[in-house]
Amino acid sequence: MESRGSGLFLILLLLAAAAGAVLVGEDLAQRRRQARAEEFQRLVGGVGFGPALDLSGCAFGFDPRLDGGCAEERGPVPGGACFCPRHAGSVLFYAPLERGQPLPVEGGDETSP
Amino acid sequence: MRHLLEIAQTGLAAVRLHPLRSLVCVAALVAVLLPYLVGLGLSKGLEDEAEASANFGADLYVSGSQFGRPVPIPLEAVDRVRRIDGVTEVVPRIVGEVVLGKDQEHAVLVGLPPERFADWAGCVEGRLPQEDRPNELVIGTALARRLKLTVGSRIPPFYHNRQGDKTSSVVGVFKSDAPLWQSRLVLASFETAAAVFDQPMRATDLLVSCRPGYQATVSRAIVGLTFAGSDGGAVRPRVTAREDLLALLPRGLRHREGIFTLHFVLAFVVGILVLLVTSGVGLAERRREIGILKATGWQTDEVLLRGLTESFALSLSGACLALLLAWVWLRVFNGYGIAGLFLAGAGAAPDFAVPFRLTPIPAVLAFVLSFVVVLTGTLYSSWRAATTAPLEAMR
Repeated sequence: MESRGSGLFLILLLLAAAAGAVLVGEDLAQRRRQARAEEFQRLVGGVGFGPALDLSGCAFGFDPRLDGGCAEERGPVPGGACFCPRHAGSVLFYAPLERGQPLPVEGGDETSP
Repeated sequence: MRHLLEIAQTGLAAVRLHPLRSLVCVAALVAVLLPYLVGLGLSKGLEDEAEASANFGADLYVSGSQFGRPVPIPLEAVDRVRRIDGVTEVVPRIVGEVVLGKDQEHAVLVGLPPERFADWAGCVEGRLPQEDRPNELVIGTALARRLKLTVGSRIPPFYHNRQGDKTSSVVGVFKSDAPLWQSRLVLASFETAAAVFDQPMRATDLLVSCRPGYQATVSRAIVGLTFAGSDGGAVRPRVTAREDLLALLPRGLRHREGIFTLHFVLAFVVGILVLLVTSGVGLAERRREIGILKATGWQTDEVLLRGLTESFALSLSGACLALLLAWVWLRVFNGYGIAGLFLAGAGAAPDFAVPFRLTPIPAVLAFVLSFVVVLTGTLYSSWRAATTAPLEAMR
């Protein structure tokens, strides 16, 4: 009985150590990825932000700097945000960019129309 | 203390007393936790890449707008923006879509002034386009593989220009460990991109760098400008600041991650029934086992401690195995099959290093969820058996 328990305890320790090593190793790998990402983004001036890999269909899904919102978004319709295949089922959602300026009654901004 | 440790050890041994039950329980945990960890890992990886894209890009992006829709901005805007106090650099850029090859491969063409390029870039195999050599391209890994292009390949004219179509040459290929957006990217000089789209003297956006603290002032000054469009109408500038992009991340990605987590809590609720059965509810053998323990002098709290240790061992092994398998799936198999579900256009076998980041918080959350579920099944059955008379339990 005791050797059974010890063997399993050892296996559990190994599993936990391997999981910990993966988390630590990935943290180190993340720094290398960041360095490569920095080099790429400085080269192209900042390209890409969302889950899409090209501009076909939804430029906003590729990069909101190119288009402030998704053209296929049907927001008021229940589930309307899911019509665009570039976002459907994705955990990588982001809201459209807010470009409007507050009106004087909203924020008292002197640059407002 | 020693007594408690000895009881805990019997809990570990209990895992091996019913190997099939333990295996099914761990397998059920892995089946529920694996997609959860992979999904959150991908989401976190893309969030990091998006953050790098915003942080290492320009301070401000200026594009044109007519009728509230994005339009190209005339190059005369470069000098006018450069004259604004606080601006240190203005770089015109062209970003547009091109279609290549007989299979109509969609690509994103980015054109930048070649003087901006260094002689060598670590993320590119080959070299970058040079100033005095037009029609030199650096292409992404997905395009290179699908179009069977390598450094030195020639591409027949793929566009129409009033000045004449030209053959292009591939001088570099992005490395697969560069961010995912390189996979369908074509990098060229500004003049080459202008020729491909046949749009001289226009850019899609201006990359503006500012002195520290001047960003808001410069942004307001740019919004106050108006440029003359090619059709004679006014082109109004639209400004996107780095902070605008960074603000999207916590609001959007984390909100969706919350929904994703919620879905998996629901999956757990469904999985609870399976796990309750496999972890002890209704298991006659467990009932008899506890009856024997009680008959030999074990107290109820000792029986429960034994069950607690057993649940801990099962849920820890399930969570650790799920994490290791998630890592193997994402790192070794590069997210085969699952990356396409989250990244539109990636396909079953992505042509780029799938961005992911496994962090401790989802791993700990996965362990806690599995521990609670397994514990519920084990403790309830143990408690019921332990509180009945040993003779009744053994029957």
